[in-house]
Amino acid sequence: MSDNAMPARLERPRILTFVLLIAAAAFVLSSFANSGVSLEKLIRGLPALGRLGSQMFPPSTERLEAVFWSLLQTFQMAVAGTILGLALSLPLAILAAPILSPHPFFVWIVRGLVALFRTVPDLVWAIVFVIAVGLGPAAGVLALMVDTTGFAARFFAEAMEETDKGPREALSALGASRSGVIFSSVIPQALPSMINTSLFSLEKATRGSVVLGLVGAGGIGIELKVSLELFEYDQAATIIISIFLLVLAVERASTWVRSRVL
Amino acid sequence: MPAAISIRKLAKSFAPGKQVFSGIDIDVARGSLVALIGANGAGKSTLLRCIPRLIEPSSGDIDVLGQSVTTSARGLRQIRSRIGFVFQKHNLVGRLSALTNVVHGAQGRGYGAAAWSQSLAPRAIRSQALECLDRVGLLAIAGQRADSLSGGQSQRVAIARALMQQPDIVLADEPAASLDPQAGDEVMQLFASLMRKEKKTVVFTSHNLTHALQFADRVIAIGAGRILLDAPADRLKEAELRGLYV
Repeated sequence: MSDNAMPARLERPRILTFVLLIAAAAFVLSSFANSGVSLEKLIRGLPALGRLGSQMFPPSTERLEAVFWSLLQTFQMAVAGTILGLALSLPLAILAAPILSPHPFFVWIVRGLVALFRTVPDLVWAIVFVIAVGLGPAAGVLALMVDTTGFAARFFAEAMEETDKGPREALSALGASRSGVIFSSVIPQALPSMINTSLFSLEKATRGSVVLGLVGAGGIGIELKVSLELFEYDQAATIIISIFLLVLAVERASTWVRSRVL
Repeated sequence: MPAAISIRKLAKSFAPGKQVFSGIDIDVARGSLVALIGANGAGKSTLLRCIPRLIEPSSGDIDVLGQSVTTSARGLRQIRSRIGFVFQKHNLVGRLSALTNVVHGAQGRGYGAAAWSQSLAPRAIRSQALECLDRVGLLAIAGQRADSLSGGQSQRVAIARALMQQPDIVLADEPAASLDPQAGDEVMQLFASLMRKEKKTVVFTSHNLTHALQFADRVIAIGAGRILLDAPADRLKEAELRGLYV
């Protein structure tokens, strides 16, 4: 075969594609330059990191009981926020799924609302609810509820959209109501994906609940903030290790549940 | 007594200039078994789905048991509740048990949430569903998940679901097409005998001309967007029908 008949190994990019690639590369480089991150800075920071590490270890066991109760409150906030969020997600997902929604208007409105819930960070929601309901875990639970709704409603709606049309059609054909079709066909089919999303929501809320205390929305975050501000780094180490163990335990438990249920 | 199904000047097109059929007039007598045959794309399934308005006709009138299907959503649900539909791909909810899939059939009879699952259903509904499974010879697998059943078993569960509905009319869209010849014959035999025994009005589509002649009282062939043949099954020969596919 002659060389002329051989296709090129790489396609020559179009001019617009080439310009966009150059612009993207320039933006990536400027992102590094403007954020001030450099290897030199990291090397200069290593001794300080070492000092911090030495001050953290061994972790303090002085306030272990208080840390335990704060951690429990953090997890309880996560559980309550997740359950409320999931309960809210179900009707919102039905309204957001074009195949189930009673009118396209609801799809548009609910998708916008869910996008708002999702795109505003949970820390911002926590500040909003601290202003609304005052300091404490209630604000944290509400922030986690909104954050979970933004996450779960979208994935619930997608799971419902992806269900097999056949059983839905069969139920419609025999005269079942809209709710009959949803609860007899759509939800049973979407259930594995919905359980998966729910477990991820709990993992996400557990991680999220840790930092909400930083803005006064309850949980162990406030303990961590106080320890760091008082330079009690050994105390902070205990809290960080506790958080790590809690998040790890929740992830392991959810993996186990997933393997048993799905 | 009016026909069980009366179709007048029915037309369907999915896009301008792409008409599937037009000017279709059919009357289906109560208690009769009608086979609808035709080549791929002739519009058999579309015509069947137009009857309970699973597909919206472009024009024409359809009356089912004396009632027009062009009615309110509630009225349409009432009409649909009197029509059992057996699909080519069974359309069972795979994650649910055979029994729950059959219990779903009661939703058309106004059992709402009580028929969403066998665990919610009252005792009477559960025992009726078991009886329907027994009639199709599947009582022993009532608790099995539908996605663990063979093709033939799935289709028999779908027939049991239609029986559970206690319909006056049963529409079946190529009920044996997704099954191997042996299972297909068995399912058609069971389907036709149950329907005759229960005096249901049946319209089924099929590519299997032997099935059409063996199980139907009347054969209607459609092609080129119109009815090509409409005759009693006992006056037709398979070779004659085969000519319609050329």
